[in-house]
Amino acid sequence: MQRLRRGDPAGLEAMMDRYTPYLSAIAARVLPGRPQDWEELTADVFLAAWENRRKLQPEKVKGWLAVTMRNRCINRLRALREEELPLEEDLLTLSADSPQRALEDQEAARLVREALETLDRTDRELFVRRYYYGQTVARAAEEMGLNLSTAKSRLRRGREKLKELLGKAGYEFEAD
Amino acid sequence: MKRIDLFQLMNAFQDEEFEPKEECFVDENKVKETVLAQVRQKKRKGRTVLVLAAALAACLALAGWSYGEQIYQFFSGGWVSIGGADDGPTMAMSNGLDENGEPTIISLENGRLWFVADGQRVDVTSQVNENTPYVWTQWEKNGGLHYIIVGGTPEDYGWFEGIELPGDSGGGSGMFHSREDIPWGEFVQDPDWYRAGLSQVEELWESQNG
Repeated sequence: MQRLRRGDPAGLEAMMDRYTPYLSAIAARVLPGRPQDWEELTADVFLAAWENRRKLQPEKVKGWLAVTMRNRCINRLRALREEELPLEEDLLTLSADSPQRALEDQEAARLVREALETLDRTDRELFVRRYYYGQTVARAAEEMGLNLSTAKSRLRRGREKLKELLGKAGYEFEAD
Repeated sequence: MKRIDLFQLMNAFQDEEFEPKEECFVDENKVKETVLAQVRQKKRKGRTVLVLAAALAACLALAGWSYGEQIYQFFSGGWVSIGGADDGPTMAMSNGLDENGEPTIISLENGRLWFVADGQRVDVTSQVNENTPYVWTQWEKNGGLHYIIVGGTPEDYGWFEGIELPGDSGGGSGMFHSREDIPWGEFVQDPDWYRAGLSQVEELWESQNG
């Protein structure tokens, strides 16, 4: 990391040696069947790391790389998908009386984590696969060995839990 | 009516529990080549501006020389032509990298600075800093003094290559900073290591030319 922050390409090479498999695995999960995108996006993320090298904190590098890769993959997914993302069910509609303020990253991360911790492992994994990795419900269900309608109702449970916690944070939602 | 997009809400989340196993799905060497090629290209572009500033400063010191055109090829890849048909000297600058993107004057490797001009490979890290230069000189057959001044730290280093010639002429070019975020006001000033190195060169010149 020190070499990277100093602008020494050897530092970037070391980072690539360590994290290329990890980042490529994230790309493969979010964009299945598109190897042409995996390589391009992996390179993009390392270039982004190089450009932001002075801001990177050594203990948070892996997380930064993962989130950057995930976000780029989701953007690519949205550009590629025939269906419009997000679907109606992926949106929580605030009521007219609800505060309209945007959630700050830290608060959003905390609320999401709290919501996920209340779910059992299967529900939690389903939620993360759908909303973090952008998998379709069908694909997530198949990979987890779940029946599709079971997966949909479990996912709904995750959304309800999140709404409950957002409600405690002051947000109000329209009735479904 | 505002809506919360759950995909966007997850932008702040970081998954550690369900992250995929580290199986490599790409050609690692290809990724590395692509990235490093772009990094070298960006570094080259970033340095060109600095070379221009140093060259402009050097050009101000040039004077005409009436012995016919002389072209001095520098190790950096740049050159200076003096006494040609053009009015005044001309020069071509270099960013200190050869056609393969390899350093020609100073190389930063694993946190150490190496002087690599003239077929040499000298670790100068402990010999230089912001105020102290490493100076290489060579007398030419025509009485000129070819010199290279290197200084700085692994975090921010630079070099200057020039030639002193009889008749108070000469010229050179270089790059005073490797950092890309230098404020404009800082990089138009000559660094202390350069001024110290130039003093040594001038002293050596005076000692032979009175």
